[in-house]
Amino acid sequence: MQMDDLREASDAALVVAIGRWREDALAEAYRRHAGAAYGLACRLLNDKSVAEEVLQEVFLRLWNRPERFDAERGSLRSYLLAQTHGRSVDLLRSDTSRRRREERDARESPAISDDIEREVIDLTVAEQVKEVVAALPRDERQAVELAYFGGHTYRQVAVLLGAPEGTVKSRIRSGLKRMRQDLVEMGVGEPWLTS
Amino acid sequence: MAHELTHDEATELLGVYALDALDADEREAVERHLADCGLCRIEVLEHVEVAGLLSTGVFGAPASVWDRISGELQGTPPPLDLAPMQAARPSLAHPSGGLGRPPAGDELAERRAGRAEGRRGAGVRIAAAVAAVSVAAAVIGVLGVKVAEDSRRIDDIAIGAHGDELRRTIDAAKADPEVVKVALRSPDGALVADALMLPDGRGYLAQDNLPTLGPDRNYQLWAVVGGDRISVGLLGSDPQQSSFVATGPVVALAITEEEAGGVVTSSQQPLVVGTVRQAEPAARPLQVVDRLAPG
Repeated sequence: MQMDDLREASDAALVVAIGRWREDALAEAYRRHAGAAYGLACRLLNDKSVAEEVLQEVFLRLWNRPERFDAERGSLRSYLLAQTHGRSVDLLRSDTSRRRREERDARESPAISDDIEREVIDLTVAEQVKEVVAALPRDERQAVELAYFGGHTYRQVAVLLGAPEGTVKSRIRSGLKRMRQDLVEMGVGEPWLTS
Repeated sequence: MAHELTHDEATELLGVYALDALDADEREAVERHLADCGLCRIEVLEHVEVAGLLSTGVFGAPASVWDRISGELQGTPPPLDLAPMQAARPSLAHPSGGLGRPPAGDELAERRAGRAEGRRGAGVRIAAAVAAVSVAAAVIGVLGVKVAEDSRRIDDIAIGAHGDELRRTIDAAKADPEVVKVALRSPDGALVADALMLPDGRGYLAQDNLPTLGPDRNYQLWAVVGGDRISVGLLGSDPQQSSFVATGPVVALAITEEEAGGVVTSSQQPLVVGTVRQAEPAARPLQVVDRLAPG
């Protein structure tokens, strides 16, 4: 598989090529997904340099352990984002000084992509996701955002919202389900979302 | 949370689990439940996909990070050595334990060291041959990348193997004094596949009695190289004499049954496994020649 082929290859094919030590395959995976992962890490960590470290770690992890990704169980992007989120949250919880939540408002925002094709796709999906999120009941949206983008545990979210822990758990779960349903109806997402 | 979660208790936590919003003890409890509950695993995967879409945006990753990543790759190929079977863990996209939690750096360092050691070897050599059988049986059964649609990336070693030419080549290999016989057997001995390997890494499947599979299934040949399990190629649904290449210190060969396109990492137990024994003095391989005559 040549580099041109990699551009057209599925994510699953990329991971196979990565398993065969194809650095260009990792580069293509980076081109496709690193922006989203970096954006998430930046948003969570509010620290560009630490976000870069997380990004590096996540992609080296893919290089070293490609078998950890199971193409039958989800998309590569969601896998990488979950890795990124988990690692970022671990850092947040292990070093509260890094949280600096009060500075979160884009003191350092990630660079804008120069990948036009992917940008268009991402923008389209982002608009649809934004629409779905906006349609969530407010209490569900708050709970999901505080947990996912705030890196808080649901117990912390409960304190922040002044709501019972059980209620927060339910809101997050129902919010995710509601978003999935809406996204499926809009035709957004990978096959796993609609299965 | 020390106690085991009931199904209802676990389901209440699936959303927050997918968002990494659980404390460590609760997360572990959920993962124990997930290990045995397919329904909950599916729900978590759906939540993870939705969460992933929340991060969709137009961000560019810094080129400097790629430069650092690329620099780390120099001389450090990704190990295809797969972790020992971890089927007891949650079969999510993150079987390492928890969503998105890479292992400690030491693990990678150890794997790199192992890979480096493995690459220093040349040719086929004996390495704990007896132990390799159990190693092969265990390590091939791992969670891994299933890429059924990517048949292009799984070499079909039967392609190009023209009957007469291959038969002559195998006959020549049998006469090679350095040939190594690999007798692959099922645990009950009912299934048999015999292979030949030469010191330069060329190998041949000489004969077998593996049953013919359906059109959507395929036999896949694996080599255990050092601590790694490497896919050598596909054998087709009805294996015939085939040639393959397996360089490095191959300690065992194994054959699994897989979907038609093959897999990068098998989750199947091998049907047959055989250890690679060092070539005997020149007179001995002739026994192999006789036994492996083309049928």
